[in-house]
Amino acid sequence: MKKVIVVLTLIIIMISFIFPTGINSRFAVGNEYYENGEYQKALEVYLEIAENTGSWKLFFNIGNSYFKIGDIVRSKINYLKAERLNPFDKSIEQNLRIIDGLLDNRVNLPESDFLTKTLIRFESFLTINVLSVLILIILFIFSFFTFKLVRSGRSKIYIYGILISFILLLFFSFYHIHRVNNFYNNKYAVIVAPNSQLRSGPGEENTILFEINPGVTIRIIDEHRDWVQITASTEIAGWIERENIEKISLQ
Amino acid sequence: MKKYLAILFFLISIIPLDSADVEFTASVDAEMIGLEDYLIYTITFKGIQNPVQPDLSEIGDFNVIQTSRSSEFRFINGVSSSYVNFLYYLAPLKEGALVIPPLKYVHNNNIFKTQGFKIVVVKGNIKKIAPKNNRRSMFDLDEDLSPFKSFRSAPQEIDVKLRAKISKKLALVGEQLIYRILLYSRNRIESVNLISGQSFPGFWQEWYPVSKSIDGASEVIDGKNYQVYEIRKAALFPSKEGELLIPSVRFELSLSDNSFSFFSTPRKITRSTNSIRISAENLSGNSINLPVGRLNITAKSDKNSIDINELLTITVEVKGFGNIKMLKIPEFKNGKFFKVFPSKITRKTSFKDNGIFGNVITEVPVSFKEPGVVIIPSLEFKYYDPLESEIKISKSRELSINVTGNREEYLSDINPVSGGISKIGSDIDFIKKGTIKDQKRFIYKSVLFRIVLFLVFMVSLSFPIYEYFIKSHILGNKKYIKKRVVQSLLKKLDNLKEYGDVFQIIEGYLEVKTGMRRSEINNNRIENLFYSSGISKNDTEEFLRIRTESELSRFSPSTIKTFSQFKIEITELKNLIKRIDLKLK
Repeated sequence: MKKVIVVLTLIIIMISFIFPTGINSRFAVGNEYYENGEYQKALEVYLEIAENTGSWKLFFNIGNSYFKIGDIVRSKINYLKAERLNPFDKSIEQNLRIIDGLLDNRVNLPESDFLTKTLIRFESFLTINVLSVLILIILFIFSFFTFKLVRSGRSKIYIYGILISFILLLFFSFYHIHRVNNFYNNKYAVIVAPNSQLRSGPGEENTILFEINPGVTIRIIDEHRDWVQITASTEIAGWIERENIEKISLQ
Repeated sequence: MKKYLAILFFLISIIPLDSADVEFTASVDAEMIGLEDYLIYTITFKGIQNPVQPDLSEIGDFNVIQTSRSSEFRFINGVSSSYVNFLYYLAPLKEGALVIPPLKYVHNNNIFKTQGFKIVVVKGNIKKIAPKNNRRSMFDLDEDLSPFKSFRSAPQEIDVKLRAKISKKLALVGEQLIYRILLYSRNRIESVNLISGQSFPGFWQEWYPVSKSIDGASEVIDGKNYQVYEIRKAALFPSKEGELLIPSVRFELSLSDNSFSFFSTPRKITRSTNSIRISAENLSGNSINLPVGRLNITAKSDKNSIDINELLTITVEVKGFGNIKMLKIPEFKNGKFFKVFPSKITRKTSFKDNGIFGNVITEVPVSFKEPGVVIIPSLEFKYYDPLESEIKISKSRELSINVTGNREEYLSDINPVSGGISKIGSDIDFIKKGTIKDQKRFIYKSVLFRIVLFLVFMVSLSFPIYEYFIKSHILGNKKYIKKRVVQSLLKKLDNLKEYGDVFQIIEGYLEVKTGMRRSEINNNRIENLFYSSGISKNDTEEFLRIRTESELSRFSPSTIKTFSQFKIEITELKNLIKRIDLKLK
């Protein structure tokens, strides 16, 4: 019983780790500025918080503030960041629709299929932190079965327990690595520079294929020095200078 | 189980089908060229529409002089495929064996790679220029480009021509016309490759996607039976009035040459279509800017009843035949009781036999100012119907929305602790309030988590390590056991209180040390063993004496009377055992 209490205490300590202190009061200050119509000041406070913190509510409010001061492209980038942290939120979706309605270029990436949507929904529940705790719990179980096997001799239950917990441990460890990797290496970006040109190859000597307007969401396929190969729809693809895009990065 | 495996294998086997249709290959026209020659490097995409031109900046030993792009069909064994070729004319920069590295291309997250080439470059000019073909067939409009003509003993008669057709020569500005390019052939065609531009000034044009399989039809012209293929099709919309010219379009055709060997290279010829002139006129009077086609407008809302704090989405759709991409959709204006937000517009087109059919969908977010029944008026859409030659009006229906609840003041009454407003359909005026948690702060990065994880891992690792490695290999090692036996013996002797117990301790020691059973241990055996181990006679005799006296002391009074005598005896025994243990095998 004592062991269970110790383990639970450790888990609670670790979960409490993700709730930072201090930022909520700053967040409230930002909200107050926003309510009073001081959008620039609100934005400054939100951006200051965002230097070390990432929260979908924060990115949502940053998106709102950018919208109010007329920077629609950055507004969109922040809504997309909020959407990454909280997919399927109706209010984010709604605001993105309003933003897309205001942008000149209404090129849309193909919609995700059912399987991808299901996977995103699953991932929104099984966050990286939940995965970390899960790995720790499985490791405890693995450790328990190993101890029992060593102490009590070869019992099938313990052998299967070790085997299953080991497989789960491997699976969730690799999945954890994959999720962390995906979190930091996002493949999506938004065009930020006006009159950006898509070329047939990485370099200015290549043919111009399209001009693409700011605000278009694109997917990165490949990167080559200062050039990025992107696709903006099933028909539009090409190379663009890196400085013309901004990744929907949560780093 | 077998059933599941079968399903799994089936699923695995069908996954690569899509990528199997896609090919990315490269070829060169020569493996040895002169320094003054150029090399034609061809990159071919099969099954990829609009591929991005590959980047050749990595080819350091060659200069790219010129590039060109072409697309083509190939009919191979009755199956046609679409190809896109990129031709690079490369000039070598130096002599020697130069390398063209493999190229990489990413398509649908699949990576395709061409082979690399080794090109030998020698001094001067060694490339032979293909002889021109002076012979012309009855339908020839351009020269035959085949470089293999001079090798043929009996070239086949070429009977191939192209014709362009338009659905209407007198049209309205914005009216949809169908332009078709037909190939008439009495020869076997392997591929059709467009080599001229296909942009027609004065028209908005939508080319039909190149079909993967084209069925031919038979047609008799001047008593000759031709196979007719529709190789290109486009919807053209005149964009200005007056006489407009559709210029001729040029193709390169590959003919299958039956007179040559099975592996012969196809014979290539070029053909052009006829140009066409059409006359376009504007609609008269007020209807000058109306869209032309057969169109219809509808409007619907996602809900009939809504809370005042939510947004309603009205979907307006215009669909039918016409230039969908240029269509302007009528918009809702802000009403007394509702506010209209910027809309999202999506356009979809599909290619039908009789023209382009499509729809324009506008999703309009609407918010309401007061509760009650709000009528959103109908939208009116005017267009000109060329088939019935009259202006037509299409109307969407009125929408009646029941708005309930009370309008919340912007954030004024919100209690931050409750989590703020996160209502469905909230617009940009609403912000998120309440507490936030750092979703970038991960547990796995914390030192505490890493320590706990490491400790649990080490503990779980230590159980089997102790049991199966330390216990059996280190603690169970014979040398280690023997070493431990003498230490254990000396320890036991230190704690000994009865002289009679010496006998048992010594026997235990000998049992572990020599492997003899207790029943086998006697003075004779010990003497022989000690002798063979090179232990001195005195030590052997002394050891046997102590053993015997200890054994006897269990049954009769011992010669050792005092505790100090006992201690001296034990100390001597310990020294004796240390000496013996060093030599005992």
